[in-house]
Amino acid sequence: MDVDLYWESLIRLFGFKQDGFGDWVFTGQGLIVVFETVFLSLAIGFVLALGIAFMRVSKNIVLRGFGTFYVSLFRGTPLLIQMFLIYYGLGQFEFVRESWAWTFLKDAYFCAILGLSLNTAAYGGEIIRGGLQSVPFGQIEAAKSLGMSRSKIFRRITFPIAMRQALPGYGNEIVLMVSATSIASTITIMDLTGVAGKIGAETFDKISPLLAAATLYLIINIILTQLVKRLEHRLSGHLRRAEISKTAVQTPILAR
Amino acid sequence: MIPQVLRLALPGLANVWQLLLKEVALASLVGLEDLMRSARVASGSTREPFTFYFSTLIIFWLIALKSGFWFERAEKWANKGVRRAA
Repeated sequence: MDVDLYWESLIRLFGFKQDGFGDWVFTGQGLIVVFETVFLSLAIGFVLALGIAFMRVSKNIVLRGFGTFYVSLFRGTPLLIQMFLIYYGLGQFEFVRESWAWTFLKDAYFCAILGLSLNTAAYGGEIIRGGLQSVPFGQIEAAKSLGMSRSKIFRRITFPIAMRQALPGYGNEIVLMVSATSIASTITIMDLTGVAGKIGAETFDKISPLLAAATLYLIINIILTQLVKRLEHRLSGHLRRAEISKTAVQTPILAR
Repeated sequence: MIPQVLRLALPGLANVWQLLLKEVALASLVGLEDLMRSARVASGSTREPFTFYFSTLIIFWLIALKSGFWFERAEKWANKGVRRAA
């Protein structure tokens, strides 16, 4: 373990590098790639996850069957294979290489985001389905008795309660996604793991850059966990006891 | 004690088993000669990556489905002495 290389790796992982003239240049690799990949695939994955969750609770047997199949397939197989299949596998076919889709599919970055999105859609879909099914029937019944339309019940009652229920699970999924982006480095993406591997190959010291990358992953995940925790806290005010205002005069408790 | 512990621990164990099954594919990256590694070598020499990666995917999926089935049966067995409401 080389401490100097560790610090140097950290700088490189942040995306900065000294060029031949000794000037610092921004390479656009490392940390920023992780942020981009995680953000894009979570956003796309969330939309897909909503679709999957609705299919899973649908009364239509074809839709429900497809949802179950999708979740089983993507949760039952390794992400590594899914990504290899998209990036290396699809290029085997002549018609794929000649179609318009090849412009996107030959791009490793696109494939990484596609793979991660499809994968997180399966996990997220199950989390949201759990949320949707946990909404107490009494709440929906009460909304009906107030004469709300079906779409209004969904918008104002079912969806917010379901999202609140799904939040802890989804927070977990976000952390898993950050770790999962490291798999994207196997299809030539220069994320934290990719850059760390490159430094390792250049310096013949693998452990220092990888430790630096691990440090950054850990810090990202700690920050994200805290953010989700705060959001949970804010959204669960109705479940906590009312906090006594600091400015209000506190009356002594005489009897318990 | 074990029958009581197993009843509660089986669902969690099933989860860990599934996760581990999928993590095994990552071991191929550091050189373990597993299914995934073989698929990589085969797709490299035949230039047919889809065929081999897709087969690997299906094999992993079948193992996951089959083991899920066995875990379900094991859970049923562990729960046979428990009275359920309705």
